[in-house]
Amino acid sequence: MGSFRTTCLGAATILSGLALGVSSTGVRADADAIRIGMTGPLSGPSEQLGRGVRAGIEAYFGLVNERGGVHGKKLALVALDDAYEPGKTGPNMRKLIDEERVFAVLGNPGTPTAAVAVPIAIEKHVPLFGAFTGAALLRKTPPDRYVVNFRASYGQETAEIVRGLIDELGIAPEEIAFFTQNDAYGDAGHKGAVAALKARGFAAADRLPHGRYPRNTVDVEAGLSRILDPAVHPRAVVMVGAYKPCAKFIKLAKQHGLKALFVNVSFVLGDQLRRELGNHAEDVVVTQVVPAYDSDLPVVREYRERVKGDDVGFVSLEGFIAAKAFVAALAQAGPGASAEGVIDALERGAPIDLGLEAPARLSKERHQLSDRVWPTVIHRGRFASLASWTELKSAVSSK
Amino acid sequence: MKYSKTDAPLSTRIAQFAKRGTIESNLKLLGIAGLGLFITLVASLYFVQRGLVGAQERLTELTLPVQHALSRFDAALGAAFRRQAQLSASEHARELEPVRERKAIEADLRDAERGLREGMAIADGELEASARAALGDLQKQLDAFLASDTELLASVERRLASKAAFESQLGGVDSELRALIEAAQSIAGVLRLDYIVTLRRIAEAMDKSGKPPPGLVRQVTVGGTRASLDEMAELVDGVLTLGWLAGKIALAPTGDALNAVMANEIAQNRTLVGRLLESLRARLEKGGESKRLAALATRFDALFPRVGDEAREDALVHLRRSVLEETARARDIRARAEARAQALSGLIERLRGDASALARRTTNEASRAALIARVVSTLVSLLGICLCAFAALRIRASVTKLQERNEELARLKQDLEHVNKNLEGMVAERTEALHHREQALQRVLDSMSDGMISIGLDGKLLPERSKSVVRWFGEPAADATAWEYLFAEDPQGAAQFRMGFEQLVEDILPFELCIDQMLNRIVHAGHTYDLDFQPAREGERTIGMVIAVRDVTAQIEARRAEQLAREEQRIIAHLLRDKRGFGQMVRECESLVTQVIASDDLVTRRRALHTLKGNCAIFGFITVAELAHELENRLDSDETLTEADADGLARRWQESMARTEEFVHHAHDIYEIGESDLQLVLGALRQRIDYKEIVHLVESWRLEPAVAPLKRLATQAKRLAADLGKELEVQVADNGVRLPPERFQPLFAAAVHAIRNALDHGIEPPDQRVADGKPRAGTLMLSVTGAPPNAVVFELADDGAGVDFEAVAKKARLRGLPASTQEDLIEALFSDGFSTRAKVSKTSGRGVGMSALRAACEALSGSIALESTPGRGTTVRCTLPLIEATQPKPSAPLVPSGPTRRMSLHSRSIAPPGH
Repeated sequence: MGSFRTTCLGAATILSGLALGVSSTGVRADADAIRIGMTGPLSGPSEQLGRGVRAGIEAYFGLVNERGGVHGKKLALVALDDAYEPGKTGPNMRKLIDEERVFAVLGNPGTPTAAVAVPIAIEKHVPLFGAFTGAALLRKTPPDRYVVNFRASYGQETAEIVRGLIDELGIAPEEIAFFTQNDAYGDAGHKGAVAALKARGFAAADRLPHGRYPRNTVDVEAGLSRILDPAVHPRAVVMVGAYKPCAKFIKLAKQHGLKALFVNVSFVLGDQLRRELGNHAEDVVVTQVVPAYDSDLPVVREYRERVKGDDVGFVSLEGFIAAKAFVAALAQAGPGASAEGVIDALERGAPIDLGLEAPARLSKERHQLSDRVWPTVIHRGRFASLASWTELKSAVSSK
Repeated sequence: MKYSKTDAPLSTRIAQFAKRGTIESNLKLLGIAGLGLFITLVASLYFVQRGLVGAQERLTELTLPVQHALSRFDAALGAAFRRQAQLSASEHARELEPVRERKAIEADLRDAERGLREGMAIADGELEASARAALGDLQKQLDAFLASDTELLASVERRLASKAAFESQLGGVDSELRALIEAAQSIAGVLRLDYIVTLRRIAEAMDKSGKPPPGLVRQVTVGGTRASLDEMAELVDGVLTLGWLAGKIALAPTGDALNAVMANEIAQNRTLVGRLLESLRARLEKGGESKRLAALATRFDALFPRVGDEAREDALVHLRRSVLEETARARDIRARAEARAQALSGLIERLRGDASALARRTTNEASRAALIARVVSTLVSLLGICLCAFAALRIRASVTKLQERNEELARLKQDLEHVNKNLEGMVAERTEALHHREQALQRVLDSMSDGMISIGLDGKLLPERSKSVVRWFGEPAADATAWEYLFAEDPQGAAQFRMGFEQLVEDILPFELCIDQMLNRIVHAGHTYDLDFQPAREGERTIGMVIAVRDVTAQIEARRAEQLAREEQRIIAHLLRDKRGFGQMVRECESLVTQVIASDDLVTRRRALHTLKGNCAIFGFITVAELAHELENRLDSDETLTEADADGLARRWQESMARTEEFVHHAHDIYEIGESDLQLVLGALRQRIDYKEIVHLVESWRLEPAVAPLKRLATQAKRLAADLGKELEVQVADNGVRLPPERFQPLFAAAVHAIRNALDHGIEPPDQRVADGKPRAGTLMLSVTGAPPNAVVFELADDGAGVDFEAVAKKARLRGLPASTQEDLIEALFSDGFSTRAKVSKTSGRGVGMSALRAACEALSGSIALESTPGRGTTVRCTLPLIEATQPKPSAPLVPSGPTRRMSLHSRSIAPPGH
């Protein structure tokens, strides 16, 4: 690192004699910059997730830095690879905090990794901001001081799904089935939905058909066999899983003649799911915690200007908005504020305009910037925003 | 009492007296005795100390190292034992790390053992055989303990290695089992989906036609699908059971429990899973899952030996067995080590007991040494007290001797007085002899025939004349008158004689009266003749006169001799009264005579002459005093002295000296010691103060007590007062001051002038004093006072009329001196040749006195001041720097006793440097 810097300085010295403006390439590390950390899968099967978040954050940081930074300070992201393995997340967090001296950790993707990162952030008093997960362990009551979320929880997503299915599409509670990953993620989604159903007076929500599959496998058959049971007739399957098994499930289910609405939560990674399903993708619903990228919301317009090509997607959009939320908090805290100052500023509850429908307000009791869930549907190979669930009427089989 | 009490002459006795140093020798003796005592004390203390130190060293060198080594050994053993406990309790290599390094503990034990061995070796002679045996045993036990320690470490390491290998294997087995279960469940899921889909089809067909499709129903009921599903579920159970059995193996507490698991459950599981796999393979032979099942079977076959194959070293059962075996072995080793540690502890206790016994013995020895020390100290102290008592007795004896010597001194003094009285006797005898001689001379005179001439009324010699006259005066010329004949050499005398004779012849005045007026002495040819006139009458008529001529030369000579003898007598009286003063006077007079003869300066000459006159008058050198007065008169009238005058004075002085030399000689080298001085020395000796200071004190006797010169002056003052018809009381105060006599002699000599002035001008005649309301007798106060730090004040104070400053002013103006202020007048008083007296008397009036005193004062680097109050008196004060004079500090008596026993004699004794 040191030698690298020395080399850079040497090169800069030589080049500055030849041409001006070399240093503006950004190669040189800015000593005055506010360093922000991130640990996520930048390699391995889930690398798209980490790379997407990183691209979103860097896009927004680039935008801020071009405008002169926050209170005159540039922002720099230090992203480390943990390959989605919780065993690597801990060392990465400690390295970011102890060695890289980051101001905060932003946009870490994953629930099992968050289980490691959260205690470290609390222990070190470093804000863990906008983690890419809807897990409940980041959403305690009252919230952990150093954990600030942007997105709605998995429970909120499935609750929205239940609301849409029952209240808008008129599907009976007993016509809903579940297919979930056999772990905490799947449980979180399932519980949210069950709670929403019970809230609507359906006490037998626990006994609804529920197929499960082991994490990191595509062994969906056993689960599918539960839902295809001739005794049940689901019109909608609420799915809380990864895109590969979910895609396999949808394809197998359709193949065996199940006519139901397949509804996925955001973490399925809609773009990957769509690709995986191919021509089986039509009418598959995915709820999102960020707006669809054809939205007219100001933040999405900003995003479209900054992010192009392969990076475009819900993941990078979430990273982009999380970065924006963080920068807004930093700006509110005032110049030279510490991490504590940023948390204090957030908890004072000043409105934060993220360029979504309404400004967000936080408090000591509330550490989540957005409760909003956007349903989208794959239509002709593209995601389309659903203004209302009723738009899906045609896709739902009649009784 | 006769002059010589002993055979030895007085001077020899005095010399012997001075030589005897009884106190000194006693002090020396005391010093030697003290030194001897001190050496004894030091030596005895040294030996006692050595005894104590020896005991201490034995305690330190023998016992303490042994006890220390024992404690060290005990501590090291404890540490080693604790370490063993920790070692055997270790469940992880990580826990083993801190206890693996046992070199330190071994080194500690070995060091402690070596220390113990060395300590015991030193103390060998003191220890019992059992202790030596215990020491030998100790080493053997220690070796065994350390060996078992090594063994234990190896065993624990083996156990931990096996355990680690077991856990690693278990982890692998566990994940493989999970994978197997997942694989089995995956296959089961596929079978189940197949089954459900078939059921679903039956349901759909029944929904459509109301009848179940027979083919599908047969497939479901009698086909292999359901059986396969069941067997698949059983297989999953079997695999799960294997996982549970692996856990059981891991927890097996003993080899027996392990054997039971192996013989029953593992064997059953193997059989069950094998059968299920076989059956499933047969059933699914044609299905799509047969490959996955084959893979599953292969994986199970590979997994099973990793759990239960006893022959495989990495099998869980084998590793667990090793762990159990090593645990048992370690327990055995520990038990052995514990037994050894206990044996070692026992040995240490025994050795500790021995060491304690040794320590007790040594402590007892030390106590004995301390007791000896106390006894020796007491003895030495007693000896010291005895010596002190002895020394005190000796010193008391010395003091007694000193008193004796003092008495002897007194006797010597008496003897000296006797000698002096003898001298007086000699003088008296001489006077007697003179008287006899006078009588003899008278007889001679009587026997000599008087000369006789007779003259007529015309003064012419008549023929009647004795032959003696002719012999004395020669043959008279014819018609020579008596005055021509008798006063041939003295025309003035002849004229006077003639005048008287003619008055006689006129016969107007009575004959006797005329006779009285006649010149009746003739000096002729060295002889003196007295003339006696007798009228020659014939009836009532005087016809002539008979002149008896008597040669009185011898008679006059005798009278002069008598006068000289008297002078001598007076001189001797003075000498006896104040030998030192006399000697000093003589020396001073000699120098004054030299001054008179040799000095060219008139003022010096006059002052010297005046002082000489005064001194000689006081000490009875009357002839010299008369001559000095005569010369002084001459000096005042024609202001010159001839050579002859000077020679005459010198001769007169030498004559006087020649007569007194014999006595003056004795006046030197005698020191006066008063009772107070003696008491001081005695006091110093009784208090045993520093010897040096006693020396100082005695040396100070060389100084003269100031009271001596003051008394001299007092005597002179009284005599002068008597001469002047005044009554005088003289008070003398020396305040204990001693002065170097040589140095202060000129001052006191010159002080006579001031006294003279005081008596002449100051003290009023008695009647006038009474009229003025003063005591009849005037008072003259003479004092010498110390003026610390380094001066003395000599003061003369009278209570007379005081200085008549008006007269002084008048006289000063006459002499052209400044006279405007009091200081001017006092200055004038001290100037040369100043006197307010119109008449020069024998006592004062020459104006020399005050200036002489000031000169003497200044010669001693001092200063003089005069204070006078009209009607109350005059004080003359000379302040003189103290170079050699000494005075006591006020209130500095000898310190009776004090913590330091040292007292400052310097305040009182004080031999100036160089004395």
